[in-house]
Amino acid sequence: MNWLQKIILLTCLVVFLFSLIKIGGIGFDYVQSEQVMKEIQVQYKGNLQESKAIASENSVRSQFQSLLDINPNIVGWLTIDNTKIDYPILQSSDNNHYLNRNYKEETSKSGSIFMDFRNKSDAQDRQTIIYGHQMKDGSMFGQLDKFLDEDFFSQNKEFQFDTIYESYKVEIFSVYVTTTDFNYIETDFPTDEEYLDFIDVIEEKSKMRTDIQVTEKDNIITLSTCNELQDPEDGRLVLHGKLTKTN
Amino acid sequence: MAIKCNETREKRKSKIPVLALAAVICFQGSNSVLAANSLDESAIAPQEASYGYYVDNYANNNSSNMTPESNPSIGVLSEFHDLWEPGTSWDNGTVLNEDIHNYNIAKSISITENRTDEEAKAAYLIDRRHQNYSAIAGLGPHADNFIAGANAGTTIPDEIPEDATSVGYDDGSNNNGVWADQNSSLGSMVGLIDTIRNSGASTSNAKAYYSYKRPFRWSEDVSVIPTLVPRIKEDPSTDGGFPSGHTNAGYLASYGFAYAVPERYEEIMTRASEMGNSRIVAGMHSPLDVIGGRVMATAVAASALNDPNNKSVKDAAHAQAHEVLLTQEGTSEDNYSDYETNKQNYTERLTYGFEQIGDTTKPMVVPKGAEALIETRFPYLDDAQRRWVLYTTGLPSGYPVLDDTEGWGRLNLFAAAGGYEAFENDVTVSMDAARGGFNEADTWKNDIDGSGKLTKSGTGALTLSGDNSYTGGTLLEEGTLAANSGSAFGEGEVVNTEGTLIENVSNGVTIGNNFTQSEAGTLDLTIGNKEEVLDINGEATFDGTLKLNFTDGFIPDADTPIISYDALAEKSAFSKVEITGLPDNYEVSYDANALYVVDSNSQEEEENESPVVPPSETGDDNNPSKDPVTEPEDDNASATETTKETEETDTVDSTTENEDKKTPAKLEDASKESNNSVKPVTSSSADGDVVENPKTGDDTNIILYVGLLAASAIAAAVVIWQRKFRRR
Repeated sequence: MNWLQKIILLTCLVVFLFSLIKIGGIGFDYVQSEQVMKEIQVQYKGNLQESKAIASENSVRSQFQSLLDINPNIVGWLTIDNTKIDYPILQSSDNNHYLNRNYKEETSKSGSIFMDFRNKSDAQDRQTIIYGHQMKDGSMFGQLDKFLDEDFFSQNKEFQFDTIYESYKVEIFSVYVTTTDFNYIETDFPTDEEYLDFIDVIEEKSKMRTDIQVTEKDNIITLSTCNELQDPEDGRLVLHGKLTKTN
Repeated sequence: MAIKCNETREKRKSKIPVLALAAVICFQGSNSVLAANSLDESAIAPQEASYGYYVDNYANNNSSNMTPESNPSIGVLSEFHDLWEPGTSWDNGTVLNEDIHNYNIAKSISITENRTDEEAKAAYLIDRRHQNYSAIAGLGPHADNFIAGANAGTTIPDEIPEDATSVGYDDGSNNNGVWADQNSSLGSMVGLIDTIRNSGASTSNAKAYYSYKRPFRWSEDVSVIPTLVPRIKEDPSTDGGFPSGHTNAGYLASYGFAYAVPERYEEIMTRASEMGNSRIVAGMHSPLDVIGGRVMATAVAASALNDPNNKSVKDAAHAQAHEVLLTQEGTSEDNYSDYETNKQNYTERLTYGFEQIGDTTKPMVVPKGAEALIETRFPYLDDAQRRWVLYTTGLPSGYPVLDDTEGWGRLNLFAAAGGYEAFENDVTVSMDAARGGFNEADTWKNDIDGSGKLTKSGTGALTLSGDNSYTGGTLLEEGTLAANSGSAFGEGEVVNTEGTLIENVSNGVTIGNNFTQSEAGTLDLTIGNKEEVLDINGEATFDGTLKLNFTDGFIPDADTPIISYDALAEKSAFSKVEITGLPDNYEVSYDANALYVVDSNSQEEEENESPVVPPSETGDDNNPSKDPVTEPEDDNASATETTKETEETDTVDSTTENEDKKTPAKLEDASKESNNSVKPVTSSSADGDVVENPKTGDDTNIILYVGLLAASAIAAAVVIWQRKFRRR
C-alpha cells in the first residue's frame, strides 16, 4: 500500500466515523426529544383522566395546573389524531425563543410548538397562529404535510385545540403550500371586511375544498411549518381551521 | 424592520384641519336634553288612538266593550283589519291580504315541520305550565333562587308523562295552588307580576272580536305536537288564534321580571320571545297571532307600570330583587348567556320575516307611558330621554299589524335595553355613582349615530361599546366614560374637563376630531399590543393626567405610538404621567404627530433589537400570569409592575431641545441599519412593523451525513479493491 492509498483510506475512515457520530447524534437528539415530550404527554393525559370536575369559565383548567408548574409559558395543547402531534403549546414574548427550546427551556433542535407572541393566549383573536418545526423524523409539525393527501384529509377533517381555559374543536377549511411572500400571519383584523377578505383568500388558496362556512364571528387557528415544495428556504405549509368551543 | 424616523412617519388617517380650541369654552353642562339639532321634542310626543291612550284606558278591556274604539286591546291590534275582515262566525271571515295570510300559514307549517324534539318538549312545557312560572327562566342564574325564595311551583314535570298524548295535564302550581306566593321572601316581585297580569290583560275579547282561526284549522299541514292534541278545543267557535294568549301572558310576566331585574333585561325579553315562538312550534298559533300577543302585552305592561296605584308595588319589587334575589349567588343554568344569539332570535321574532306592506317611511311614534317599561333600566335618564331611547330603537314602519297609531307595535324593548341608537339631539347623562346599580356603571351596547352631542356628567361610569358614528362630539364633565369599541366616541371632537376617559380596546380607539383634556381630566389607556393606539384625527391638546397601563407583557418599541394625532397644540403636555407595567426608566416623549413611550436608558441596545421583539430581558424566564381577567402577562411586566409617577414640569414638543434625549429623533440611524436586516417575509402591521415568519425547518443534515458515510465507505472500498486488483 503506497502512502497515497494510506492517506485516502485514513481520510475515509475519519469521514466515516465523523458521519457515523453525527448521524448517531441526530438520532440521539430525536430520541431524546421524543422522550422529553413523552414525559409531559403522560402527565397531561394523566391529568385529563383525573380532572372530572368541570372548571368554571375563565379559570385555568385542572389538566393544565401541573403543566404550568413546569413552565408557565404553556398556553395550550394541540392534538391531531393519526399524526404524532400531541404537544403542549408555548408562547414567549417573541417568535424566536421556542424555535430551539423545549418546554423545559432546554436547547433542542426540535424546539416547541408555539403560539405567535402577538396572540392572546386564550385564543380570542380572530387568527391564532401556531408554529412548529417540520422535523424529519415526523415529530413536531413533521407530519402536517399528511393533510396535503386527499385521502388523509377526508378522514381527518377535525382536531382538538385546548387553551388552558377552553377546549375547541377545529374544523380544517384550508391547507396549502406557499412561501413567506404570502402574508398569512396577521393577528389583527381591524374590520370585518379585512377579515372576510383574508378568509376568502385562504379558502381560495386551499388545495382541498370544504363546505365549512367561516363568518366574521368565527375565530380561526392557523398551523404553520416549513415546507420545501415551493421553496427550500421560504416555503411554508399552512393549515387553517375554524374554532368551535366544546365543553 | 420598520423603525421609521419621525419626520417621515405617515399618518394613517387623513388629516383634518386643525380647529380652534375656543370650542372648549362653549361646553357648559346641562342636566336635560338640550335644544335639538335635528329633531325637536314633538318627535317623541304621544299620538292618541281612536280608543284614547292605552295607558289611560286599559281598564276598558272587558266584554262589554267589543269595538276597536271602545276596547284598547282590540284597538291596539286594529291594523289586523288590513289583513283580515272578521266574519259573523268563527269560519266566515275574509282574508284581505292573501300574500300575508299565506305567508303566515306557510311559516307555521315550516316551523312545525322543522321543529326538533327538544323544541317540541319545551313547547309542551310552556303550553302546560303557568306562563309566569315559565318566564322565570329569563332570570338565568337567579332562576333557582327565585323559585326557592318565592315558593314558585308547578305540577308539570320536566319530563313529559308518557300518556300525555291522551291525557291533558293541568298545572296545579305550588302547594298553595298559585304559581308563587306573595307572602314569600320574594313576595313583592310576585306581587308585581300578579298586578301586571291582572291589569285588563285578557286576550279573550280581542280573540273573540277578530275570530281568526288557529293555524291547524287553516291547514292540515300545520301539525300540533302530539302531546298537546288532547288540549285542542272541540268547539272552534270560541277558540280564536289572534292574538296569542300564552304569548301575551309570557311577555307580561317577563316585563315584570325585567322591571324588577333590569340587569337581565335582554335575556328576559329573549325568554319572552321564546315563549311566544314556542306557540308556533307547538302548532297552536301562527306568527301573526304571536306578534299580536306581544303588542298587546307591551301596552298592558306599560299601563300597569304607569298606574300611580301600582307605584309602591313596582318600587317594592325592584328593591326586593336587589336586596334579596341578586345578593344571592346565582347557581342555575343560564340559557340566554350569549348576547348576539339573543339579539338575533329576538329581532327575528319581532317581524317573523314578514315584508313591509305599508308606508315604510313613517317616523317612529312612542306611545304615551311606554317609557315606564325601561325606567329601572335607565334610572339616570329622565322620562323624555327614555322616550328618545324608545324612539331611536323602534322598528321601521310598514310591517303587518305593527303600525298602530300609538306605536306599541314598533317598540323594540331588547334594543332599547342597549341604550340610544341615535343622538337626535344633544344628550346629557348625569349618573350618580352613590346611588349604585346602573347609576354607578352602565354600558350602552347599541351603535349610535345622529348629529347630537353626548355630555357625560356625574360620578358614575358609562361605557360605550357600539360602533358609533354620532357627529356632535363628546364632552366628559365628570365621572368615567369608557370606550369598549374602536369607534365608541363617534366622529366628533372629544373634550374631557374633569372626568376619566378610559380606553381598553385591543385594536385601539379613534377619536374622529380634536381631543382636548383639561387640568383636572385623566386619560387612562390600557395597552397590551402595538395596535392599541389612541388615534386622534385632529389636534390634540393635553393637560391633566395620563395613565398608561401596559399589560400582557407588552413593551412598546420606541417607534410605536401610544397616542397619534394630526397636530399637537403649542406647549401642550400632560402635567402628570403614571406608567404601570413597564420598568422605571420608561417615560413619554412627544413628537409632532405622536406620543411615544421610550426607554431612556437603552438607546444602544435598541439599535440592535428587532422592533417587534421586546428588550432582551423579556426573554427566557417568562412567567405569564394566568389571571383571565387581566389576561396573561409576561413577568417582564409583572415583575416590574411599579407605578411610576412623573411630574412633568416642562412642556415638550417636537421642536424643543429635549428631544434628542428622547428616542424618536435618534432612531433614524438605527432604523436605517435595521431596515437592511429585515427579511422580506410576512406579516406587517398597520404601521409598517414587520413580524418575521419563523423558520421552522429541520436543519439537521442527516442526508449529508448519510451521503458522507456512504461516500467514504465507497471510496475506501475502491482503494482496497484497486490494491487487490494490482496485486493480481
